[in-house]
Order: sequence, then structure tokens, then C-alpha cells
Amino acid sequence: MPTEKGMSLIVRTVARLLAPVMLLVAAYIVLHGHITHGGGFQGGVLVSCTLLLLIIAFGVDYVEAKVTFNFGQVFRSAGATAIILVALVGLVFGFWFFKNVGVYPYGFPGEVFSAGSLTLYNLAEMANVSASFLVAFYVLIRFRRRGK
Amino acid sequence: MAEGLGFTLLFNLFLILSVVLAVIVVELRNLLYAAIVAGFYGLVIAVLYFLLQAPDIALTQVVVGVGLQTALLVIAISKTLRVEEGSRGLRFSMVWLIFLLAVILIFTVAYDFPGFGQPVGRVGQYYVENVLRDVGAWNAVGAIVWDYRGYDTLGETLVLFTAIIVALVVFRHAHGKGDEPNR
Amino acid sequence: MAVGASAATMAMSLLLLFETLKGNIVVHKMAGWSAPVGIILVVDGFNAFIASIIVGVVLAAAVFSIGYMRGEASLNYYYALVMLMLGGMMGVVLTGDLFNLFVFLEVMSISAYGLVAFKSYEMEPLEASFKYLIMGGTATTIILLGVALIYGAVGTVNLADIACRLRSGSLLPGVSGSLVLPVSLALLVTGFGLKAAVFPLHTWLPDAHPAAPSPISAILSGVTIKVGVYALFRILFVIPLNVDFAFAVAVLSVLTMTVGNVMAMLQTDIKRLLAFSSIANIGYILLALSVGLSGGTYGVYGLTSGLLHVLNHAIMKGLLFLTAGAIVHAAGTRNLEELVGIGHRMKATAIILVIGVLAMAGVPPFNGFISEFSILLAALGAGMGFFAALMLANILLAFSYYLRLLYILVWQAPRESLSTVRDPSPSMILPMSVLASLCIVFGVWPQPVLMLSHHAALSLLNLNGYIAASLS
Repeated sequence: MPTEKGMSLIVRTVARLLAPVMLLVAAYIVLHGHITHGGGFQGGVLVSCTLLLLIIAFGVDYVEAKVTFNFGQVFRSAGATAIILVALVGLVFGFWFFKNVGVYPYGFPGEVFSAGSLTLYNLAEMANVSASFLVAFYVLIRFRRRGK
Repeated sequence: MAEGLGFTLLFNLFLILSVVLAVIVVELRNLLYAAIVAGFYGLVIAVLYFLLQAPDIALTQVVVGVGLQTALLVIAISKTLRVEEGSRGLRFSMVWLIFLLAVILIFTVAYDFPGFGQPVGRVGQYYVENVLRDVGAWNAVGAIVWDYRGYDTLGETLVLFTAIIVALVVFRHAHGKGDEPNR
Repeated sequence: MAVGASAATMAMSLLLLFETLKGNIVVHKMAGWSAPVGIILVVDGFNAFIASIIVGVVLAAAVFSIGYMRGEASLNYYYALVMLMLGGMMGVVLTGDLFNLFVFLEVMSISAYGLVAFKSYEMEPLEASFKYLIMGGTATTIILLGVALIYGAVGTVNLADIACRLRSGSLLPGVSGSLVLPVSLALLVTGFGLKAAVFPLHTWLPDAHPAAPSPISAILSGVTIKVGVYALFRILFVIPLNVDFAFAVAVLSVLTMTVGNVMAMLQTDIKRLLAFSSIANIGYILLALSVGLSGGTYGVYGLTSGLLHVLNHAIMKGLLFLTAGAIVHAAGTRNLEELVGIGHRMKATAIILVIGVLAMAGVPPFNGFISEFSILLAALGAGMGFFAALMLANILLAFSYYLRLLYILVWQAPRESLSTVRDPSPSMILPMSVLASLCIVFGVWPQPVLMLSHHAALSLLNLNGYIAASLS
């Protein structure tokens, strides 16, 4: 299994160069989710793809030492919990579950801090999605057929 | 709607390309190659979405259909068989079933829906016209996803959450609960 | 913690039930957007009735799990999945939005796949879960196609709005509904029919339900398939019918119950027998639905008896699966030939088993008799004598194999190998005895539940009130 040892120097160098760029794009997609296309889900998948690239290039042990399995679990649950909490704020202050209440910055349409709770939802969704797929990758890569 | 001969040509070219790639995916016996070609197929579909002016869906299709799906398929293939074995009888019957379903759908769409490019959608109209006043977000899709229909998105998040728990349950004997996998 | 959460949900759904009994329809607008724009939760008598049944069975199964699942690894995942499944089922039942219904159906189904495969160190649960996954995944895809076609034709996914638009015939400009509506209705019925294990699409059930841990079997057989039934009821009453669906549903129901009962007769595995019997009972409920679809006074009567049977079957089948779980847990096998006479060793379990089996077989003082008998009467009254006769034959068939089950488990002398078997712990006996006493209480004194299900049937038929409350 190549993913356990990592690949050649060329692949590693390219991955080292590509990973920050991919993370930057992901951050853009997430933080501008309410202004331009994309949002938490797309950004989160991109983050997890970046980590997958690192796993392929450097081996799963290298990545798992930096971003542990348990960290992924906690991050994933924190993201899902945060969505529900932000939605509950709408229930408490605005009477309806998920209501976009004035507690959050309303701003002017087009600014980074605008559109109320959308940014928070996008960030929480990014955390949930990226960590979810990371955990799935770890589980799948570590899995061995029975009897081997 | 982008109009003109160039658009029509490009659009139809990509439509034909998607069908050709789909047939190649089905016919390849080496599953690793099939997974890679499926990635290209996803890319073509993403371009089609983009040409139809749905860049949000196109972005999702690129990251999921090209990146994530290929990666998951390659990992799955590396754990199982790389070359398809056995007879193809079952697959042909499945193909016929899907073909039948597709024919039904195409007839439904062709006979009952208005022509290509005509605006439809009652609720959709409301979203587009009122999103800036209601939510204050430029990205109407984001506003629909997290405000108008936020509860649906919560449901989808729960689907992903549940699916990961299911994966952990099914594979928990391969990967321990903590950092130390059982090797 | 899971028990606490389900108890809290139980309290809330009972509150909702009492609120709807006053004739009110409770509406919650998600994010404050009213009906066609946003998602709304609409709770009328029908919803609240089904929701209370779901929570009750899940609560019993959660309490039972404390004793049954002791010693298993990763119990945190187990309870998380049970709660997610409860959340999914409640989401499906309470929502007033077709797409939202699909989303929560996915949550419910995916957690069900995981729970069926929970004992992933054995081969059988994995295989059963995979089969369930493939068939269920196809079903949800088909449902999504149906929802998409309806959205394309009507321009809305709100159930009340769809009903309103279709009744007044105001589709989107340029759309002619002559082909779209039948095709989308067919897709939806196929998908929900698979979730409800209706005859040609039932094949996943006898694998998935026995392979799951027993409390999960109780939830799956007791309420999860009823969610499919709920969706069928709702869809068939919301989308206007140009075709006479009553006859088609009646034919399907007779096929379903016959296949279920005949296959159940042949089983030697106690949980598989119960699973096939669930298919048969879905057939009974569908017959009541077809009586309800044919309309008139007997239509209301048929719906009432069908909903009563939803309640009764949830209680009885939940009870029987929990009892079977206790037996399997103690004896370590599901094979009836190795369980001969186990009732002599597990006295308390045996008493509960006798109550559950007699109720299931339709013996008079128990609750199963009331609802099966009233479905028969409703079918006769609606002029479906042929189907009623077939159902009577099916009930007699069910009676025969349940009698055989009792004979094997309780009557015959116990085997040598079972000499060390004892009754399970109190945390397992408690939910079983509660459900068993409910069987007796609802059999001897059925007026309150009859009133409830009559109210539920009336609010299902009160489409104008539903539309008015949803779109206000």
C-alpha cells in the first residue's frame, strides 16, 4: 500500500507547494460563502482533499501524527454541534429555529462580515465536513481484509 | 441564458463527451482505470453545470465528483480487486433497468415540461427577487442553503455525520477506538 | 443518556398529541419563513399519533438495550445511532415539506444500515446490511427523482402547497401534468413502498431485521417500516388521484400479507419468523389504507382501524422482538429447534411471550384482535368481501404458526442444553412487561386508543384544514 510509506521526492515537493494554495482557496470559498459561489461544504471537501494529497505524498503515519484521529472526531462533532447551537440562538432570540437574528452582524451586502449567521454556519459546516472525510480516509486506509 | 451557436456547439460537444466517457467507465474491466475515467466524467459534468450557469453546483461537482469520489474509489479498489471478474449477465440486466427508467424520465420531461431555457419555478423566483432584502447575502444559493432552507442543510449535515459513524462502526475492528490501530 | 433523551422526546410528543386532540394544528416555521418559501413543521392529529408510537417503542428499546448490549464494544456509537434514527423518524413524520421528508428519511435509513451492521465482527449482519443499503439507497434515489419531478411541475415542495396547487390545477406555465404527475407518484410510491416492505420490494426485510441486535429489530419492525407506511398514507392523500388506487393497493396488500405469512410458516429461526410476520402485518395495514382510499363512511372506519393496527402492531412486534432478544441473549441461538421448551427455564419471559404471541395471533382479549377484526369489518363494509376473505385466511394462517411457536417454546419439555438458562435482568424485563400490559389494556379497554386513531384518521382526511394551517 503506497499510502503508508509515501511517494517520491517529486511528488512530495509538488504536494508541499500545492497544499497551502489549496488551503487558501478553501478558506476563500468558506469565508466568502455568502458572497460568491461555494460555501462550507465545498470548502470542507477541499480541505479534506488537501489532507488526502498529503497522505498520499508523505504517508498516512506522517499526517496522522500531526492531525490525529481523535482530533478529527472532536472537530467533526464540534462542527455539527456549532450548527445546532447557532440555529438555537435563532430559536431563543427570534422565536423560530434557524432564524437569522440581529445578534449577528448584518453588515452591508457584499462585505465579508454580512448576512448574519451565514458565515458562522459556513465555518461550522467546513469543520464538520473536512474532519468527517478525514476520519473516513483514516478508517478506510487502515482497514485490512480479515484473515490477512 | 448564454445564447448563440458557439454556446450550443460547446454544450452539445460536452454532452456527447459525457455519454462517451460514461460508456467507457462501464466497459473498462480494469477498475482503477475506470475510477480515473469516472473522475474525467465528473469534470465534464461540472463543465456542463457551469455552462448552464450553475457555478455553485459546478464547484461542488468538481470537489466531490473529481476529487473526493476518485480518491474514495481508488482507496476502495486498492483494498479489493483491481480487475473485474466473473460474468457480465447481471450487469446487463441492471443496464436495461436503468435504461428503462431513463426512457421513462426522458419521455416525461420531453412531453410535459417547457422547452430548454424557459424560466420555471415559483419559489425560485421569490428567492432570486428577495434574497438581498431578506438575508443580505449576494450568494443566493448560500442564502437558500443556510437561511430559507437551513433545516434541510442541518438534515444533510446529520446524514454525513451518521454516515461517518456508520463507517466507524463497520470498520471498528480494523481501526481501534483511539490512535493506535490494530495492525 | 439515550434513555433520558428519548423520555424527553416522549414527553414532548405526548404534549403535541394533547394539543392536536383539541383540534389544533401546530405549525413551526423554520427560520421564520412561511410555507412555500421556507420549511415548516406541521403537526396534526395523524402526525402526533404516529410520532408518539415511534417514541414509545424507541424508549422501550433504549431501556432494553441497557441490559442487552452490556459487554458490546463502542456503545457510544450504538446509542448515537439509535438517537439519530429516532431523530430521522421524527423528522420524517413531523415535517410538512416533501424534500425535507426525503432528507430525514436518509438520516433514518443510514443509521438503520449502521445499526443492522452493528455486530460487524460477524458475517451475517454485514451481508444483511449491505443488501439493505443497496435496496434502500435505490429507494431513496427513486424518491428523490419523484420529488424533483414534482418540484419541476408545481414549483414547490411544500406538501400543503402541492395539494393546493394540484387541486386547483395551477401547474407552472408551460407544464402539462398528464405524464409528470403519474410518473412522480409512481416513483414516490415505489420508494416508500420499499421502505415499508410492500410485497415485491420486501426482500431486504427478512435479512436485515433478524441480523440486527434485538432492540434494533424491535425498532425496525415496530416503527421504522411504519415511517414508510406513514409517507404512503400522506402522499396518497395529498396528491390527487385520477386513478382508482384503492384496488391496486388492495391487490398489493393481499400479496404482501400472503407472502409474509406463508414464508413465516416455513422459518426455523425465531427472529426471521417475526420479521416475515411484520411483512404480513404491513399487508393488513395496506388493506385498511385501500379501504380508506375508496372513501365514504367505511373509508374513515378503515383508516381508523388501520392506524389502530399501526399502534397495536408497533406494541406487539416491539414486545415480541424484545422477548425474542431476551431468549436469544440467554440461550445464544436463534434456531427454534435448539430453543425447545425454553419457557420452562425463563418463567417471566415465558408469560410475556405468551401474551405477545396471543396478541399477535389475534386472540380476543388482546389488542391485536380489535384492530384486525375492525379492518376485516371495514373491508366487508366497503364491499371488498374477496379481500376480506383472503385476509381472514391469512389471520388463520398466522394463528397456526404462532401456535406452533408457543408449542415449541413454552409447551414442550426443555432440552438438556438449556438447563442453565435464567430470566434476564430487570432492566430488560421492565420494558417488556410494560409493553405486555399495554397489549392487555388496549385489548380490554380499547376506547381511548380507538378515539385517538379515529381522531388521527379524521385529521388525515381533513386536507383543507391541513392546507389552511400550513399556508397561513
